This record gives sequence, C-alpha cells and structure tokens, in this order.
Amino acid sequence: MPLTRRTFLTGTASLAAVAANPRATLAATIPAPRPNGGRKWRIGYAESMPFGNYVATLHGVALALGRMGWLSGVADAPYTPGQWDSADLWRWLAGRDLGPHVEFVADAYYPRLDRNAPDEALNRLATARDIDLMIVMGTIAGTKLATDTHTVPTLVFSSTNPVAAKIVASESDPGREHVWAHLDLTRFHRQLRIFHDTFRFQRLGVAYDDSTVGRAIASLSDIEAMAERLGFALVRRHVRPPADEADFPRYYADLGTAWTELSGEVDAMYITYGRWELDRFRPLVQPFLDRRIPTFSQLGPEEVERGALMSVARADFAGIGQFGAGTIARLFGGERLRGLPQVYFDTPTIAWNIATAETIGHRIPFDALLAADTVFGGT
Amino acid sequence: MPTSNQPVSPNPDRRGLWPAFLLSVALVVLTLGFSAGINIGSFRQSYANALMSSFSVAGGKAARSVEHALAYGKVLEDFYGIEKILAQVRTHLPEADGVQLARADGRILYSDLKTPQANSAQTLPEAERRRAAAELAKRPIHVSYDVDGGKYRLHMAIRQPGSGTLAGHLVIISDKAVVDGQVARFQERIVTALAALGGASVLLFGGFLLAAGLWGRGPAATDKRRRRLTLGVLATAQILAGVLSYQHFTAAYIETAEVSTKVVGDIVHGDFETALSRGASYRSLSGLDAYFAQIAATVPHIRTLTLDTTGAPPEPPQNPTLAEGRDFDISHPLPADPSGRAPALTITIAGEHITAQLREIVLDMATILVTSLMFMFEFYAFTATFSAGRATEAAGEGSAVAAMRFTTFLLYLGAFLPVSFVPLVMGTFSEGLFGLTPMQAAAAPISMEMLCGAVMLLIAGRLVRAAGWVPLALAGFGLAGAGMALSAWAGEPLAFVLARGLVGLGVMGTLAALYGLIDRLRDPESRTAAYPQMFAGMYAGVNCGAVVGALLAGRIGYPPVFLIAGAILAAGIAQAWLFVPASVKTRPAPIPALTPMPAKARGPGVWRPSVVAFLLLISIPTSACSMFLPYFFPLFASGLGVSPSTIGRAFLLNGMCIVFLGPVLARLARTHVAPWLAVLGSGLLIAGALILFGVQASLLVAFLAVFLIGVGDSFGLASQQQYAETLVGEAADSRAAVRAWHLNARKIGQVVGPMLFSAAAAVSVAGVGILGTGLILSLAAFTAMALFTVRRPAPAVAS
Repeated sequence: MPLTRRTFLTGTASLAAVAANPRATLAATIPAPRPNGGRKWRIGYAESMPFGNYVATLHGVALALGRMGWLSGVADAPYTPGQWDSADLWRWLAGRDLGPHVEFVADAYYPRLDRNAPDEALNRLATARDIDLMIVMGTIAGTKLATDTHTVPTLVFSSTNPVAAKIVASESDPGREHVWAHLDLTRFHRQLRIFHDTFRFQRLGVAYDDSTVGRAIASLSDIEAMAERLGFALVRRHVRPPADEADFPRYYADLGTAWTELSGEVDAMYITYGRWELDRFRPLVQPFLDRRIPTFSQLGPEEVERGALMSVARADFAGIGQFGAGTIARLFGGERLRGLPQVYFDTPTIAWNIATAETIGHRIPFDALLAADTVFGGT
Repeated sequence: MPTSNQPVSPNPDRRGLWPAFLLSVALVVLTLGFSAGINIGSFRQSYANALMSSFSVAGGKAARSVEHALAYGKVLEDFYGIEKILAQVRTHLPEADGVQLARADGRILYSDLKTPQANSAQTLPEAERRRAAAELAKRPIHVSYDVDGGKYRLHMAIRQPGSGTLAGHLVIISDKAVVDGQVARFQERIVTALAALGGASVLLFGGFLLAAGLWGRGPAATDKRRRRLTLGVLATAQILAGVLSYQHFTAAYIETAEVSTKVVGDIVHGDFETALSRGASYRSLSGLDAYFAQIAATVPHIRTLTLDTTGAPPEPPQNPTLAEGRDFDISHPLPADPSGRAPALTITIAGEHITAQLREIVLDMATILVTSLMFMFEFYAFTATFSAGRATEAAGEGSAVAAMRFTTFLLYLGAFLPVSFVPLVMGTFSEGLFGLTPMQAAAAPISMEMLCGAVMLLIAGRLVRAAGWVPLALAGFGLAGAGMALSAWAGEPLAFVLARGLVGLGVMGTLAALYGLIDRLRDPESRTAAYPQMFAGMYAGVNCGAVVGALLAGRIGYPPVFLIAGAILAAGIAQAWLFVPASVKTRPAPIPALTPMPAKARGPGVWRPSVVAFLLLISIPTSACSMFLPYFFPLFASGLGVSPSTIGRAFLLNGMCIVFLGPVLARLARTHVAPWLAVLGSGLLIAGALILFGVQASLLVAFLAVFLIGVGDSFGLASQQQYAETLVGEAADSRAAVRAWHLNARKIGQVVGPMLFSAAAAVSVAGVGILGTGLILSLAAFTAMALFTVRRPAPAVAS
C-alpha cells in the first residue's frame, strides 16, 4: 500500500505538532483505548452556529478516534462535504453503540451558542459531572464554555484566534488545566503574505465586527501585524453581526454598503469570516469585480467558488481530525490536558477563480495555476 | 646496459617457445578480461548516470511543483495533493519503481512504489541521507546505488522558498534492470569483439610458433618478435575496446537525451492540458517565460522552450538528430484551448552542449583506455622480463628492477583501490567519532593512514638493517592486506580508522623495503635508474587502483573492494618472494636503506647546513606545492561543478607524466644535467604552474598546472634524491640517512601542503600564485646554496 498523505497522518500522532512543539516527540504515541473506570468516556458537544467547518471537524475527529481503536463502527457516520448542520451527525453518533470505550451523549448537544446562553451547559458541567469531555466549535462557543465555572476538559476547535479571544493564554500554555484549543496562529499571516506577494497592494480593505469576539474571529491582530510588517494600509469598515434571524436583512444591507464603499477605496480586499450565507456571497462581492479589485477569502474555496479571486485555506479535515483525536486519546489515557500540544498547521489548499481573474483583468501566473488545488470558474 | 625494465636478451631455444606462447596467451586473456571488465563497469556507471539525469527531468519538475506549493504555505508533513504530483512522476517514468518524498531529516513522508512492502520504510538510510544532503548542496541531483537491493536512487533537493535551505528529498527509485538491458547489449558486443580478437591472437601466436618451429629462426629474434606481437595484440585490443565503448556509449547518451526531450514535451503538454481543463486559455496565461526557463534549466541540452503562436505549420522535416551536435528545433503539438487555438511547443536543442557531452565521452573513454594500457603495460613489462630467465648478474639486476616496479605497481594498485571512497565510509557508520563533525571524521582515516605511514618511514631504516628488506616488504604487504580486511569488517568508526592506520604502516613499510632493494643493486647506474621505474609502477598502480576501485565500489559496495584490495596486497607477498632474483634478496646491503635519524647512523654529513637547507628549501616546499593536485584541484574543480570523472582525468594526466615521461626525463636529466639544475628545473615547473594558476584560474589552466607539476615531479623526485645523496658524499650511512630525511621531509610537506593551500585559497585563488612565488624564493635560495656547494665538494666519509 503506498504511503500517502492519509496513511502518513494515520501512522503518527501529528508530525506537524511535533515540529511545532519540540516537547512533543514521536514517542508520544497514541495510547491504547482504556475504559473510564467502570463506564464509558462521555463526550458532549457545543458550537457557535451551523457551519461547515464545525461538522467536518467533528466528523474528522470521530473517524480518527475510530482508526485509533477508541470507537468502532464509526466509518459509516453520515457526512456530506459542505454539510452545515451538525445535529444529524450528532444524533447518529449518540444513537449507536460505538464500542466499549466512548459514547456521545445525546442530550449533551448545545448548538447556536451565538444566540443561546451557555448557562444550561455550564450548570451541567459544573454540577452533574456526567460529562468527561466537551468538544466545542468556534470562537463564540469557546469563549462561553472555556470558563472557570467548571473543570470538565474542554477542547475548542475552529476558533480563528483562541489567544486573541482569551480562550487560552498562549500557544505553549492554555493557562488553565481543563481548557485546550487548537491553534494555528500563523495561518492568516501566510494568507496575507501570499496575497500581498501576488498583488503588492498598498491599501487593503477589511470589514469586521468591532467587538472583542468579532476582532478575534477576523483575527484582526494578525491582519494589523502583517500590515505593519509588509507596509500596507488598512481601510476598515465595521459591520455589526445579526442579533437574530430577523436582523439578517439589516446585516446584509450594512455589509453591502461597507463592501461597496471599500471597493472604491482599496487596492485589494481581504474578506474575513462573516455570518452571511454562501448563497448571498456572489452579489455581495460583485462591487469588487466591477471595480477590478482582487479579493482574498479568509474562509477558503467555498467563497472562491462563489466569486472571490483566491484563497489559501484548510484542505480537508483529516489532519485536524487526527490531531484532535490524538489529543482526546492522550487525555483519556491519563495525560494532563495542559501539557498537550495545541499547535497544528492545517494543510492548506490553494484555490483560484479563473473567471473572476478574467473579470478583473488579472492573468494568473502559469505556475500558480498549476500549483492550485482547485480552480473555479472554468468553462 | 640494463637500465630499465627492457627485457634482457633471452637466448631461448625452441623448446622455450611453448611456455612463451602460453604466457602470451595468458597475458592476452588477462588484459582482455581487464579491458572488458573496466569498459563494461565504466559503461554501466556512465549509462546509469545519464539515465538518472534523464529521470531527473520529470523528478525535477515534481520537486519544483512541491517548492511552489511550499511558497503558498503548504508543509511537506501534510501536503494536500502530493499524491497527484507523485503520480505524475510515475506516469512519465513507467520504468521506475516509484518515488518517495522524505523530509531533510530522512523521514519518509510519502512513498509510492511498485512493491508494496517497499512502502513500509520509515526513513532514508542515514548514510545515504547525509551523503545526498552533502552532494545536493553542490549539484542538482545525486545518484546512489543500493548494492543489497539492486536499486538506483536518484535524489533531488526540495528547497524552502526564500531561504533555499534543504526542506526534503524527492527520491526516484529504479531497479538495476533499467540499466542492465542496455549494459547487457554492450557487454555482448564488447565481449564478442574481444573474444574474436583474443581468438585471432591465439591463432597468430600459434602461427608464429609454427613458423618458428619450421624455419628455426634465431631465438633472440624470435623472442623479440613474439614480444612485439604480444604488445601489438594487447594494444589493439585495448584500443578496439575503447572505440566500441565510445560508439555504444554515444548511442546510449543520444538515446537518453532523446528520451528526456520527449519527457519534457510530455510534461509541458500535460501542464497545458491541466491549465486548459481548468478554464484557462492560451490568451489568458502569463508567466510562461519563467515556467519554460525553469524546465529548460533542468535539461542542459535544451536551449529554450517557446510557444509558437503563429499557427504556421512546422518546418518541413529535415530529420535532424541530436547526434549531429548542432542547434535545431523540435516541434511538439499542444492541446487546443476552448477557442480552438492550438499553438505548438518549440524545443530548441543546444547543439554545443551535445557536442560538449560527446567530447566528454571521448575523454572518458580515453581515460579508460589509458588506464587499461597502463595495466596492460605493467603486466607486459613484467612478464616480458621474466619470460626468458636470467643468466648474468647484470641481467639479474635488470630483472630485480622490473620485479621492483611490478611489486610497487601491485602495492599501489591494492592500496589505492579504495581511495575514492575511504572518506565516505565514515559516513556509513551510525555513530560518530569522538564528537568530530562529519567533515572532520571523514578526514580521520586518511590522516591516520598518513601518520602511521610517516611513523613507519621513521623506523623503517632500523627495521631493514635489523631484519633485511625482504621480511619488511613481506610484513608490509601482510600488514596492509590485514588492514584492508579489517577495513572491510570494521563495524565502527574507530575500528575503521585503526584499520586504515594498519594499511598506512604496511604500505610505507613495503615502500621503504623496496628502497632497501634498490640499495642492494651494485651497479650505480641501475640503482639510479630504479627510482623512475619505482615511481612509474607507483603511479600506474595509483591510477589503475583508483579507477577500478571506484567502478567496483559502485557495483559491489565498499567492503568487497577492501577485500579485493587485501587480496591484491596478499598477492604482492608472493610476487615479491617469487620474482625478485634470489641474488638480490640475499645479498647484503652495500648501503643500509633508510637509516634511522639519530645516533651514529645519522652520519656526519646529515647535519651539514647544505642538507638542512636542501630539506627546508626543496624537499618540504616542492612536496607541499605538489599537493595542488590531490588537495586543491578536486575542491576547485568540484566548485566549478565538473564531474568526478573529469577530476579523475587530472590524476591520470599527472600519473601519465610520471609513468611515461618519468623514466625518459629522469634518464636525460641524469646524463645531461647537473643534479642541482634538474632539481631547480623541476621546482621551477611546479612554481610556474602555481603562479600561472594564480594569475588565470580556470579549469583549463588547472589542467595545465597539473600537467606541469606532473612533468616537474616526473624527473624531480629522482633528481632530488640524487642531489641529496651528493651532498653527503659517498659515505653509505650518510647517503641512506639523507635519503630518509628527504623522504620524511617530503611527508612533512604533504601534511603542510593542504594547510597552505586552504589558507591561500581563503584569500582567493590568487593565493595559489603566492605559494608559487614563495617556492620561487625558495628555489632562488637553493640555487645560491647549490652554487656555493658545488664549489666546495663534500668530503668522502667512510661508513
């Protein structure tokens, strides 16, 4: 059997983590599955909102736990790439006997913490003591559940910048015994460097929610650092996120105004994470196409497919799934959560939209076209 | 007057013709076998390198793709899309076993090999990784051969964008079968041709024997003709092998160049297909010049790649071929874009590169030919001398010189068989040596060998006096042979270094003993003439050993070559014992050889100012400057990116000067020029070579410098010895002692030389010229001293 990227990832805990953290050695192999005293390890789940990356990460973690022997029969878990709703997957995981070691607790599922208060979850974690581990997706959910009101191990994934969001203290130390977050703090540095290398812009547009969480989601500190390092100016617009479902029209209107204004003021646009639905993305980005402004999606290929010019983002969720599952296994194996590595570099994928390039009059270099993993907009 | 290896008139009767016939046949078989072996080995090595170079086209493209993605933030450890890149390599190289991608630390990240079990390897072998990393710092590809597995492994660097540091290796693995097919064809052709030639030779010898029997020609004339016939047949065979080798290799090179040209066309076609399938059109593409330049850079015989968008039909075919060695265009169709536009790819072949490569092949083949001729000549000269027995005392001394030359040849053939890879062996051990860096550790075995050699030279005189030269020669061969065997079996670096020390002791012991043999020659003329013969045998052995050893190592690995070297050295014991005339073996020494330095043996003349000045002004400086070839030249040439075979040719050139010019020039110098003038002339040639190089450093001038140094050394080594002896008069002890001092002073020069060159080169190559100027100053001082000494002849001191 060839040694491919997938088999390589399966064969080691996480080489990237090792590379990033010299203390984590290859000898730190995944421990064999073991019971939690006389019962199974019980896992709960919380997320900020419905989002494709959350479901994909949860699915990746479950599959990797299966490969490590902590779960059985999980390979058939229902998941469609691009799927936003995690409820179906959670129901499937919780509704089956996945072996003697781990169970997903059906009622320990806490969605939409962007709108819902975390009190129920926090109370349960603080008092019931029937959950051994919380998997938490997103910055908002992370800030709400990674607190000192409980001591249940809490693993936060898919947070743009958990340090800026104060979920963890730093890359090397979460700051608390029971909190851990996946970190890849150079991801957006890489994105901006590549974008700047390609277009050498002087004025970069950026729109974001000017709150602590909003700035953390946009990873504004990284953007500002790169602006200073590479010598370009930031042209900012603040857009308040929707408070609820009824607030979305206002949100789209504000966003449309902000982006239209920016399209007349900047050389390039860095589209940070936002709350828009992907179907609404194309008309929102159109002003940049009209004014021939290159756009870079912080999110990834999903937005490139819908009209952003380019992105360099996470390729798939096999790597992060393996890394997260390895962390869970080592925690269940008896290791101290605070001592486990948090840094994992997601493997990037390069995406271009050739139709957008043509629209804005940019000729993608031949080498870049060949190196791209995904090219959208072709005939 | 038997002054050289010229066989003495044999006086055989007709009954002696049969043994002579059989000896000639045996010589033909031996040299034809050697010639076939060395040509086949050389062809295999060269063809494998050419084939791997053609493989590097596809591999290099993949490596550049990976590097490009690294610039976009991908990491080797988790490289999305790597399977596609590796699969493209497999597609372009179906004959390869597969491809691996490893990190710079050797960990294999991705492996796509035909044999499933082969994919289980976790890391590159550490020795291979270290060597590949060192080689990739100097050149774009590195080819190694895994003797145990029978696999060629082509390494290409993957560099971190920006910093250029080595991020990983792309390794293309191929079974030896990809080379075997072509080699088998060559082997069949050359073996058939040489067998036919051998058969014809036997018939010739048979006919000759018959004619001699029927007509009863005079024995001397018969023997002379037989020897001429033998030499003619052998030389013809070697030249024929060289010509065949050249023809076949040229065809094989052209074939690999054509294959790599086709691969380039296929790669470009595939890339355009990919880009067009993604929605691009030819009109929308940019950066093609950079893309084409990058590909052309990996294929030296391609001058440019261009896109012919004129839509004009390709020129009428003229059927040009690469073998013509001129510029021409090859048109390669490309896929159509959505608008139906389909330009052609024009590949412009660089004719001068092809011509240069063909010239390289000629030079390589010439190197092999000369090496084969050297081998043949040594055996011929030896057997010719011994084919007819010896009757007179003078004839005995002549055969002693011939035996000494052949013994020296065997000694250096064995000693230099592993010379091309001794430093590399240190890299094969998993553990280090006393915390030394890899570079320092690589030098340790050589340093130990030289140190032990120097120690042996210091004590050799005492040993020769105590036990005689024969026991020391035999013990030296034994020690060196044992050292070689231990080198083969050494499992750790220290053991290997100690084994090399044993080799150094043994080789220098035997060499010192051979000086002892020369001391036992009664005829002064024979004695003086023996030195060039010794140096000739020495350099023939060095060249044959280095070339054959490198070929063997690439095929059978290091340890077996050490064992073969040990066997050759062991054979030297038999040779020295059986073929040196008994009268010389048992004769007491009129002049004790290599007398140790202190005490009475030092002789009253050794501490004369003229002797000390000679050692300081000539022995040390000239030997230090002669280290230009073994130390400085390989570094300089390697820095220019020339091939190891080109570096080898410089050694051969130097060796040829010593072997072929040495005896002639030394005789002329001895008979027509005062010794001090010969020493001066030799030194001026060496100094001039260095100054010339310092003024105009280039590969061509470096070769010229090597030639001049070779010419200088060819008669200078003997002249220096001769002059040194004149400084202390006729006193036997003093002459032996001064010779020992001279040899040791030269050893010191050989140790100092590399240090001087490295210090000089730290300034610039002009520093080499400064060394030459320094030698000129030494020579000027020596001249003044010599003129003074000539006016005051040394008093004769009885021993």
